[in-house]
Amino acid sequence: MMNNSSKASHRPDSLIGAIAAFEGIQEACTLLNGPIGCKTYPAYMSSILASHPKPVDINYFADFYFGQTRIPCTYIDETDFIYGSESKVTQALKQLEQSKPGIIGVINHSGTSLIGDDLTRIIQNTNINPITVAIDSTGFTGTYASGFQDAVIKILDGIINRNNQKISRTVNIIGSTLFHYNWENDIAEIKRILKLLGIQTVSVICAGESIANIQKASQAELNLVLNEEYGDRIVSYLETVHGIPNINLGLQAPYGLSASEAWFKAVADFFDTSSESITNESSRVRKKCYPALAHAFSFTSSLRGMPFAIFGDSSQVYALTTFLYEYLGMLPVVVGIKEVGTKNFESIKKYLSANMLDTSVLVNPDQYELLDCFNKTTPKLLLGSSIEKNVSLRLSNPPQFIPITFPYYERVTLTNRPLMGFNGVLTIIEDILNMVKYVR
Amino acid sequence: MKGIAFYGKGGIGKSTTISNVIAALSLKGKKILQIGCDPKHDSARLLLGGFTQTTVLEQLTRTGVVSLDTVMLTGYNQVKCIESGGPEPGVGCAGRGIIQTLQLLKDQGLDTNQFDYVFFDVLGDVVCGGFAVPMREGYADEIYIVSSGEIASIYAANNIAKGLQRFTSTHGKLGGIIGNQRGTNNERQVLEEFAKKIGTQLIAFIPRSELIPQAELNSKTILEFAPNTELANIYSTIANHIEHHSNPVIPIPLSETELEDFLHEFCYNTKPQINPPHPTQTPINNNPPKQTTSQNTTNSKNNTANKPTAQTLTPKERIPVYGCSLTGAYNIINQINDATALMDSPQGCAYISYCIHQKVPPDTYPIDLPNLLCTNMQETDVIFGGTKNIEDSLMYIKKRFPTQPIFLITACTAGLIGDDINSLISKLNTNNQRILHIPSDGVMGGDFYSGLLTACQLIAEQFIDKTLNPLDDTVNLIGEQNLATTANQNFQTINHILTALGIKINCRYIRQTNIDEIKNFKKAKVNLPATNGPTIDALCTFLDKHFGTQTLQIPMPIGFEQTVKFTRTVAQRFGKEALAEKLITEAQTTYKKEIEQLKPRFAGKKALINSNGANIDWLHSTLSALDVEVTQINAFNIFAPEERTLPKLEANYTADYIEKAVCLNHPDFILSARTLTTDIPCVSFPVLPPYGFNIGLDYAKELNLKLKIPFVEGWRYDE
Repeated sequence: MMNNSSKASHRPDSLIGAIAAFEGIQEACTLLNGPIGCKTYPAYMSSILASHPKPVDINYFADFYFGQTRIPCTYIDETDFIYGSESKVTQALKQLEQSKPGIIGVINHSGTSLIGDDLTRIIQNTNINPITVAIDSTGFTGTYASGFQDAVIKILDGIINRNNQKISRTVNIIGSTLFHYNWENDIAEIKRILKLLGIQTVSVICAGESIANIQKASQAELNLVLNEEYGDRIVSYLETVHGIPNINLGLQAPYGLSASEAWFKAVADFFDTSSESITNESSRVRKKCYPALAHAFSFTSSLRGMPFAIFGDSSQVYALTTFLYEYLGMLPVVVGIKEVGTKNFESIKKYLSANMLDTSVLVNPDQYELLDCFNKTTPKLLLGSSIEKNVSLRLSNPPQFIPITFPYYERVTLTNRPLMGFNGVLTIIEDILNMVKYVR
Repeated sequence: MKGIAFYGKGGIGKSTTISNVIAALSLKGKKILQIGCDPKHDSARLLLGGFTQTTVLEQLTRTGVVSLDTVMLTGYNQVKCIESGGPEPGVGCAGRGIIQTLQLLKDQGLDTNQFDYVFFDVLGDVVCGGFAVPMREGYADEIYIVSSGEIASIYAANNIAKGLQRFTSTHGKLGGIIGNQRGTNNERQVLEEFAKKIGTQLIAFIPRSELIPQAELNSKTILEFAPNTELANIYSTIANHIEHHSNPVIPIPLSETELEDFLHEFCYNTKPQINPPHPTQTPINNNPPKQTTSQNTTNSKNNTANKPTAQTLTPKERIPVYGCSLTGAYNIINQINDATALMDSPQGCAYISYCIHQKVPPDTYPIDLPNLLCTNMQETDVIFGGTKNIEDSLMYIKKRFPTQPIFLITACTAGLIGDDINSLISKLNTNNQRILHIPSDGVMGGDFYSGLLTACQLIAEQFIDKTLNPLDDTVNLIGEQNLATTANQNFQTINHILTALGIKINCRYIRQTNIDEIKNFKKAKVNLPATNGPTIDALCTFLDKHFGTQTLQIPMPIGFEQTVKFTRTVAQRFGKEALAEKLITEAQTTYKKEIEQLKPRFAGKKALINSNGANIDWLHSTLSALDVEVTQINAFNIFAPEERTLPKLEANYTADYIEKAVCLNHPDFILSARTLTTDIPCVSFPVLPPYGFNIGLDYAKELNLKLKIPFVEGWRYDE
């Protein structure tokens, strides 16, 4: 549950997390049992971030879609709040069935969950062909990550194969979502490095994955968690029900060199395989970075000790902070946490303290707290989302900005530039070296 | 494990009955869990010897977590007892409390399979979905209704049967009626007949007995207090029935007429009589039609007597509510630079509003930061009422901005739980700082435009200084479109025209403004509305009526002809005709010259227009000026269509219309609100075109260039 004392108004919540879980399945159709106003923004986000976007088609002006290609809704109004939404849900399900989705997710928004409409029973009574999973409530102000994990567990419970016979040297990747900035490139990078270790990926759970692969998730030998905040309860479920262990839950997410090395070496150790390819990858990247960094450091002194602010989920922030501090000698002046992962959040506080860094640590600050903090700390580089970027633009000397987390609206990503893994190191260093000349 | 739920009218004796039945089963060695689903949390009192236990929701509120060790106590004969708890009467949502409790118990790993029976003691009638949760799959397998022969009790029992019928599609759940004597005539017979009518049976009839209050005074069940009595035997009989002879059925609840007939036959011993209302009596309208869409703003003036109410319409017939009142209200407040908005809502509602305003290009975004904070409504606020959270949030804002007005706007959930916000605001309002509650209530308050209108009206009432007198040659602008990317450009255009006429803008109501400008609203006599849509019409009517302004009935102009008309109308109102003609002549010279230059490129061509229902007069007249023949106009009816009198208009077209229209009319190009993939050139036009003389001319220039590019771009072949 989110800290009740925060009055911040710019964090996606558990409803959007649940939507992300369904939208992360290629053949899914997400039906929001709620008003049109609640579906417009997630539908817009999903339509630009999904790896399988549908072109705008005039036929999507059909009932329940309201001019958007994704996330139909039951356009709840006051009458439905009083008399219940059953007839609309039934009508919508029957219509959606015609487009033959692989799975339909029906999600109550906060109002319909409050009146207690029993989606499970309505779905049973409607008796349609596609697998249909109901989310009766996503809470009221739950976190985005909690909404995602709750929905994923329900999805897995509904569709995963009961076949627990493991496929040798295989993993599931857990803990990315459709709304994560650059999610597709990051997953591709993780899969690439796993392949170097001779390990295949069975399923990337609810992040651009097909139903068939998610159903096979029970057969993976190991679960890998990218971001603790989005995977801890999912791996616990998979371990309990399907006997799949996990090894890297408490580790930093694989951003930067040392975190990536540790993350992949843990995988190699589990499979009792040589980690030579990891060492080689690290060495390749280090060799590529060295001359560019040596050149940059010889011409400018601004990188060393450059004050930076970073915002993201704790596992991401922890990994990138250590990378920028240790590898580039930059100075963290603000660390902002969006989703709190128990292990990584404690670790980052310890890390900052151990290095006697006087860094401001913010958890879900509102925009005014953010502005106060920026004014006080005057970072030269900001890594974060559009939210922090737009606040920083109010400063007389705004910091240079590198997007690392969502929501980030300004750019569509088509190139293969991950943030995670070893190629992610190249992306981050390239971005920093290209912006350093603009730092004032 | 078998789940058993007891329902019945409030105060009918459910808790006493269930406690005694549980006691009887426990004496047979059964392992039992009792879950009280009633905010007054006294369900297990007799089993706990009068001890009042910590409820699940109480512990959740106090500590943020629930542990089974604390909320599950052991009572009489090892019976485990849990109380849901809930809000004080009149606040929050007790039904939601039940939903939350049962979910929390699941989350805490409560293993119900360790018990032989799990009993649910549920508050009163099935008034909303929350109270029906124990009826759902996975909770109670059998439901027993406790009822007396009183009319109200039988009504409640029939309602419970109705609720239960919804939850039993495949197999029966109604175990029977348990009679609890209150001393009405033929009470047992009434209950037996009622049970039979709804397809079940009266499984026991508990007589009135002084033993019951005596046992309760001693905080004991009858099984403990007076074990060797007839009464104890009856409870044991019920226990025995549940254990060995239960035969749950799908109930057949009585219709209202059947129930009336039944009550007359068995309770009143009379024939039902239907008394028509007296002719002069005002009929009671239980469901007055409510304004939920902006379209109704004007329709409400019309006679609605014969129109169906929202309830009588099927979902498909009801007009969908676009956006919500909450975002509409915030769309106004975010334009007041020295104010803060507090959204009483889950964080997701605020997030959507925040993002909408971040996405508008910065040049149209006037405020340093979105002036929006959120109570971040939690489950506990919903169950127990959220006034404490609202107060904390308001105090946080007051501390940061001690003199700025605060606008409190509410989401659907806030509207549903119905916190007493006005009392709270009365308490916190000071002379230095006003807090204004705008009861938007999310989609319950209507659509985006309803919220916009409500906010504008309440702000006017609260802040406009009625004592001021108007100055010469000043106007107010009303209802500028804050989310339009052209909003600033439009303002510059209107300002340019007004300046040329020697007229000053006093207040922009409400865009890029502050409280002082709003206070000074009456310094202008004339209002200029941005559009002639129903919302802005209603707002202008309101402002004129309450503040003595006069609205000039001319919307802000799109295209050459409309701009000429606008300029002349405004000038005439202020006696500035000569200045207007000068401005128009200058514009006309440029317009004609440039249109003539473009005409050879377009003359004789045929065009097909696809519109989404927006204003296209400007487009039509521009094409006419270019000598382009408009072969057909398809008006796509997604939003509320305005009545149009343009020739060759086809309303409500669908995708296949385009193909047919192309075949029939052979246009040289299509102008569409959305770019289409077709075999002939298609160029989009702006849905919200900017104001002024030159939009048509500018579009014609753009069209001239765009018709030179390949009309099917290379990428379209890669599908």
